[in-house]
Formats: sequence, C-alpha cells, structure tokens
Amino acid sequence: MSTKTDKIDALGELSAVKQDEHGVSLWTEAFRRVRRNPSALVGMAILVLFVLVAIIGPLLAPYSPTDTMGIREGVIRPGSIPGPSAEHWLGYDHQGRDQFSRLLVGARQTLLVGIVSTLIGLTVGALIGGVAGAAAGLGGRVGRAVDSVLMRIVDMLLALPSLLLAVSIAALLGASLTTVMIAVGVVSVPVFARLLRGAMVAQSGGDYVLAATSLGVKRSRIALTHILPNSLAPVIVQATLTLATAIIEAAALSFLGLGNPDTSTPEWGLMLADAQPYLDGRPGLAIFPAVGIIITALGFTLLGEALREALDPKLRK
Amino acid sequence: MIRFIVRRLLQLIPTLFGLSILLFIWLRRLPGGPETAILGERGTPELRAQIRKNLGLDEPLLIQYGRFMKRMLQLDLGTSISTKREVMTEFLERFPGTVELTITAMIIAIGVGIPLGYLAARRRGSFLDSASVGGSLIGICVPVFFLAYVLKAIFSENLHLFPSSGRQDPTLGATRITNFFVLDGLMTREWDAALDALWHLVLPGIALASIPLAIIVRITRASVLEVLSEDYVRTAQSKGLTERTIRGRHILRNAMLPIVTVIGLLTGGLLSGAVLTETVFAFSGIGAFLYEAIANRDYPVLMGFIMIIAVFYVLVNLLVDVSYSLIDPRVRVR
Amino acid sequence: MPLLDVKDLSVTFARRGQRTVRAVDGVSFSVEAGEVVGLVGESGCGKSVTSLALMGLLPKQRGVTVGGSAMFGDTDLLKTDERTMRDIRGRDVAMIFQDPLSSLNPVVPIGVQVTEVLARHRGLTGAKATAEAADLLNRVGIPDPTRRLKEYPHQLSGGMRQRALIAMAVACAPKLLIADEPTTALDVTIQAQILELLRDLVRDSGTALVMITHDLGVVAGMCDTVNVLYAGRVVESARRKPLFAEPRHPYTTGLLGSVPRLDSGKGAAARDPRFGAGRPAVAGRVRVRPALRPPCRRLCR
Repeated sequence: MSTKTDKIDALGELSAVKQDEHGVSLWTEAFRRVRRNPSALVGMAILVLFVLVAIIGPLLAPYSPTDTMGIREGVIRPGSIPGPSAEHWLGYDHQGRDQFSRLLVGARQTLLVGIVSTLIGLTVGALIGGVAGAAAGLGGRVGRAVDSVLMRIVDMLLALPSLLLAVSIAALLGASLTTVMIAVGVVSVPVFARLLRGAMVAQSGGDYVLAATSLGVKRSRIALTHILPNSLAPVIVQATLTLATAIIEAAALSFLGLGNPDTSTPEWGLMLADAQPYLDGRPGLAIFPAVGIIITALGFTLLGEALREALDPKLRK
Repeated sequence: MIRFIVRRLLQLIPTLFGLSILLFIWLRRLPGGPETAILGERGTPELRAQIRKNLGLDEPLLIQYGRFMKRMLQLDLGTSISTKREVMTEFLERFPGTVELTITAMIIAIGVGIPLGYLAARRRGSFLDSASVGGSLIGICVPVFFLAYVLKAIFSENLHLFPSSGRQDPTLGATRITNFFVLDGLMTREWDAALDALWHLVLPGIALASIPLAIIVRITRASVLEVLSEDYVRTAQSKGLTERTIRGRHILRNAMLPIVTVIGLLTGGLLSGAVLTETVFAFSGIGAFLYEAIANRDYPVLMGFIMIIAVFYVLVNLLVDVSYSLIDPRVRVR
Repeated sequence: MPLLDVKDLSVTFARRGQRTVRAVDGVSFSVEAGEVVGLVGESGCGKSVTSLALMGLLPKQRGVTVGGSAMFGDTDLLKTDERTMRDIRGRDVAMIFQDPLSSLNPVVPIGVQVTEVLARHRGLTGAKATAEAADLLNRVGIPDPTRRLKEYPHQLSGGMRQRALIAMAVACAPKLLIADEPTTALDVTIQAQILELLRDLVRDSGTALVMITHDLGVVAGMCDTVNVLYAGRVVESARRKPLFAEPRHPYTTGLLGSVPRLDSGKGAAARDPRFGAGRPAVAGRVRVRPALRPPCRRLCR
C-alpha cells in the first residue's frame, strides 16, 4: 500500500473521495477539474475574447489600419503625435494611422504568429521526440542508437540560448514575419522533443506495457497505441504555455529588427517595437499593444497551468 | 566526483562537435555566402571571387571544415566587419559587462525569489501567497524590453533615482584592470567608481531579473509545498527540532533540488534577456554588441559569439549537475 | 495518576463545500508509566489522527479542530503552546512512524539526524554527540555504527532504517513512546525483530508505549491493555487476555475473525455462532459511523 493513500486515510479523508469517480477517463476528469478552477476560467474568458477580436476585429475597426490619415490631414509633426480624441479613441500612431483600429486588426496577426510558431515547434519536436521515445521503448541496439543520436541533436539545439538561435535563423532567412514564426518555432523544438521522449520512456516502464508485451502484442504497436497516447498530456500542456511565450518572443524579435520590415500590417509585437522611440511623448503607443500581449500571454499561461494541474496524476485523488 | 566531472566533460565533445558542424553549415548558407558576410553588400564580382579563393571556398568541403575547426580551436574567430577588430578582443572587452549584469540579475532573482516562494508555500492561501503567485504569473508574461523601458522611464527619467544608460560615469576616469567595473573599483580602492558601476547595474538588473524571479518564486513554492507533505518533515517536527533546523536542514535542503536545476537553465537563458536589456540601457556588454551585429549583419561576430556562448552555456549546465550531486547523495551513487 | 490521560479526544476536518469529517469522536484512554497500550483498528478508524493530535502535529489550518484533553503530567498536550510542545516532543514524548524510508530525510546523513535530537534536548554537540549517537545505534542493533552514521538513508536496509528511527526516538529516554504501525512497511521476517527490539527497549528503560496497529498479532505479543477503535470511537477497552478470550463488542469479534487463517477458507467470524452465518466481515474503509442506538444489545457492556 502506498504511503500517500495511507496519509489521506490518516487525515480523516480530507478530500472526501466519492466512490463513483472510479473509471472516469483522464481527460474527462481533467476537464471537470479545469471547469472548477477559477483561474482557468479567467484564462479561458481572456482567450475567448482574444480569439473573438482576432476574428471580427477588422469588422469593428472604425478606420483602415493602414490609412496614414494623420499625415494626410497634417496633424502629425515631429515630436507631436495627437493623443486620444472623440474620433480617434487611442489617438494616432507615429505614421498617422488610427491606433485603435490597428490594435483591433493586429490581434489576428498576433494570434497567427503564436499559433503557427507553436505548431512548428510542436510538430517537429513531437516528431523527433516521438521517434526517439518509440525507439528507446523498443530497445535493442538500433533503437538505442536512434534514440541517442536524436537526443544529441536536441541537446545541441538546447546548447544555444533561445534568442541567439532565433537570431541565427533570422540571419539565414532575412527579416520577415515568416522568419519570426520559424525562429520562434524552432526554439521550442527541443523542449517538445525532450518532453515527449521523457514521457514515453517513463510510460514504457509501466505495468500495462509489460502486460501487453506478455500478451504478445507487437512492440511497435504497443508504442503507437499504448505508450504514445498516454504520453501526450505534458505535451499538450506545454503547447498551451508555449503559445504565451511564442507571442512574447515574437515581440522581442520584432524589437530587435528581425520582424516584418513592412510595418503597415498591424501586429502587436511590431507595434510595440515601433513605438519605442515615442515613449516620452506618447507612451500609449507602446502601452496598449504591450498590455494586449501581456493579457493574452496571461490567458494562455493561466489555462496551461490549470491544464497541468488537472492532468498531473500526482494531484489526482 | 572528479570522475563524474571528467565524464560529463567528455560527453560535451560530441555536442560541441555537432554544434561546430551546424555553425559551419550556417556560415556557408548565409545569404550571399561568406564572401558577402565579409564584404557586406558592397563587393564587386572580382573581389568576391578573390575572397572565395582566399577563404579556400573552392576546395573540398571536408578540407574547408578542417580549416574552420583548426581556427576555432586556436580561438581565431576572425575580424569584426563593423569595428575591424579581432572578434576575440571584442568579446573579452564586453563579456565582463554581461557577466556583471547577469550576476546582478541572478542575485536579485534568487535572493528575492527563494524566500518569497518559501513564505508563500508556508502560508498557503494567505494574501502573500496569492500575491506572489499572481505577481509571478504576470512577471512571466511581460516582455523584458518593455519592462526595461518602463523602469527606465519611471525611475531614471522621471524620478532621477538611477542612471539611464551606460555601465559607469565616464567622467570618473576609473582605472580598468579586469573590465569587471565593480571588481576594478574594489581592487583599485576607487570606491566611488565601484559604487557608481553598481548603481548603473540596478535598473537593468531588475529588468533582467523579472522572468527568472517569477520562475524561481513558482518553482520554490511548488517544491516547498511538495516537501512539506513529506513524512520526514513530520519526523523532524516530532523530534521537537527548532523551526530554524527544520526549515534549513529538512525543508529547504530537499526543496533545493528542483530549484537548482531551474536556476541552471535560467542562467543560460539569461543571455537572451541580456541582449534586450543591454540594448534598452545602452549597457555595453555582449548583448548590445550582438544587437548591433545583427543590425549590421556582422557575421564573424555573430558566429564567434554564438560559439563561445554555447560553450559557456554548456559549462553552466555542467556546474548545475555538479552542485546537484553535491546536494543529493542519491545522485552520487550512479 | 496515569502517565497520559486522554479524555474525550475529538478531531474534525471541515472543508468548504464538503461534509465535515469527524475522524476521532470522543476517544478516551489512559497509559500508566511503563505500560504498553494498544490502539487497534482498521485503516481510517482514527488511530493515526489520534497519535498526531497527541503530538500536536496535525496540520495547523482552518477546518482542523481538536477537542477534549490529554493530560501528560501537568500539561495538556492538546492545549499547550507550540513552544512548550517543541520542548516536550522528542524529549518526553517521542514517535516512530510507519514508513522508515519516507520518514528519514534522504539528503542528510543518519548521524546528523540522530545527533540533532541530542543537540536540541540534551545539549550534546561535536564528538560527544557522535559518540552518543554511535552508542544509540549500537543499542538498537545496528552493527558497525560509526560507519553507518556517515551513511544516507538510501544506503540502509528497511529494517536498519526503522532501527535508526527508533534510535532517534529513544535518544532522550522519553517517558512515552508512540509507535504508529512501526512494522507495517517491513518484511515479515524483520517485523518480529523490530517488535522484539521495541519490547526490550521499553522494558529496560521503563518507557510507556502506545502501540498503534491493525495487526492483532502485534497486540497479542506486546500489549498490556488494548483499546479497539472503530469509526473514531473506542468501542472496547480491555486487558489483553480477556479481550482475546471473550470479546464483547461485535466489531472486536469481527476484527478477531478477520485474521486470515490457513486452516479454513473463512475467517473465525463466519464460524462464530454469535454471528448470523454469512454475515460479512468488516471490510473496506470506515466512512460514517453506523447509528448504534441503545436498543442494540451489543452497544453497552
């Protein structure tokens, strides 16, 4: 009998476990836990709002985000960018465009950057980690060799600080939004690879794997149908958390001048980077996109943390 | 212990070897090839051909790689395009600044993070706990360069409490020995110089510390909570030990294991933040220099710095593993 | 006057949104100096909570309430302030836990874990403390104690770890020792050795022992007095011999009957004529105390 269960007994069944909870699947149970977690609900509310803006933002925008109307109207002069007014809720940006419209329209690009770069990292990382994990689980000389070669490659990527890695990639591809997405994605590849491999190796030591093996199930089949699905939980949690860091890192790359050189298409990270020279006179130009990024990242982080807690087997009963 | 370190150092060789291949390929794949990297966009076709020949780019790949490795091992990293100085010289001049900044940030992050995380765990559910959990969540989500600008705007430009840029007031005419400005000031007994250098470190240090601080608070809290539920803490209490002994020897010592791992990872990752922070505060470390190198497409500098930094990063992680095994006797056996 | 007099001890755990759990519900028993008292019952019946309450080690948070009194000499263990409790713990009242591996700090050498008690309560430090610790390990039957002092818990065998924990508990010659299932986590062959060690230690030093167990074999071998706990209550309290010879409470009978026997397929309860045939032996965890009302002829004795 495990000590942990004993302790729960000893403390007079603090958690008052219900009998009928047995047999509920990991995911059903996890979603139930997420729904009951207030910070997860806050995170989800933020994300729903964000996605909504990303979808219908362009419809709500009062002006075209690329229209340099301030310059046309002659209200923009060096050292003077008009602030909020009745017509322009958040004022003009440094090129005389309506800041509020840019903020609304920019949500879509920001979401896109986050999702695409996370997907790049997830796909490549899960592929490497999955193959390595399966190879390690299969064992044998070939399996171990494949595993160790793949993991050395991942170690190599990990040996580079993330921003330097992103910068090296950007140096190869030139500055553009695609570059930013690829660079940010590649940075998260080793994380996903290690996570999935680690989980698969841990799972392959499980009793149910032994049971399946003893029943004569083929080892490659065990890896695919038993080990892999049971190892996905940490990867999904990490993907949610990576969405947050990807948006922040993309902003950093934009700040370093590696983002889209064409700044007419609004994107929060780019807007924030562009606003830096005007911080003294018009701090709002930086603050609004920054707050947007912070709140969105917070939404993803809250949800990711809640998922992590919900899926942690240690915290389950 | 020595055998453990030697074995870990040997394990580094394949990683660094692979990294060198990666960098070699990277250098050759740069837009326009290395000749553009050296000449910039200005080179005429004849000049390009000349450089290709000089660099031996017409020879077989393997020989080229051998020559590349030879230069690497001799620490010959070439010459910067923008400053026309040896990359190694540039590095040695600027690295101390980054090290000072990184150490400052780590002292802030560890010095505040571990006590805060510990208290949050001990007073679980209290206001302090919620505040530090919430604060650390936000801390992770604020872009470092934005925080740096905000700190600069508030504490330096409006309140004039701290200097807004640089590593030291140049009018002090401080003596240079190691290029670690604080250390130099202490060694030469130029107290005002040391203090001034320290003063310049405060704001960038705080900005750089924000993310590590947030992560250390979280991991400390989680780790202490986990240890608090362990049987041996109850045993220690049942022996009637003082709060101090229980905290130090029984709770923190066990809780430190995951914290040390995370600190190691963070120390390596601090460099990314340093690039951003140094840029905002015009702090002359390798970060700001790298930023310029990116802007100028100064590839020799980029490549040389990446190689040295990767070695440092790997060494920091080795240090973490060693300290880990010092704390946990169970790791030593393996 | 008894050494320890527990009266009407109750412990409740309340959690927002959930039903309050009454883990210990009016438990009373007493321990004379040098006596071995058993607290017997199945898991979840409140044995461990009782011992933690006596040591003042229940989590100090909202929702945990302790009632009643536990007089130890002139002090009430349930109401004393934390500072006095710290002086009492380890010096006058010591405790041995169930799982010796998890109860020892994995990153601190055994020696330090023994000497820290000596330093705290007897002011022994340095070479004196080390010598005393080696002597203690020797007394609990750990061979080559000077070497073992430098070792870490993971380097010791299970039985050795429990011996080390016992050495820490008896380091200050406490008047009362509480052992919470001290042999449950051990191999059967080791169990007997540890019980023998405990019996010898309390006999030689005159320490009173509260033995918490679900194992009636342990009770039969060691205890002078036995308290049977069920659903947070003492349902039967008797000297050892009468308890085994003629149990009064049906739960005690059930407990005795649940001891697995090799000679028949069923427990003794099934064969006991006082029970209806086929009456299920008490199984699973105790959750809610069944309402025993005066009409039940087995309630009072």
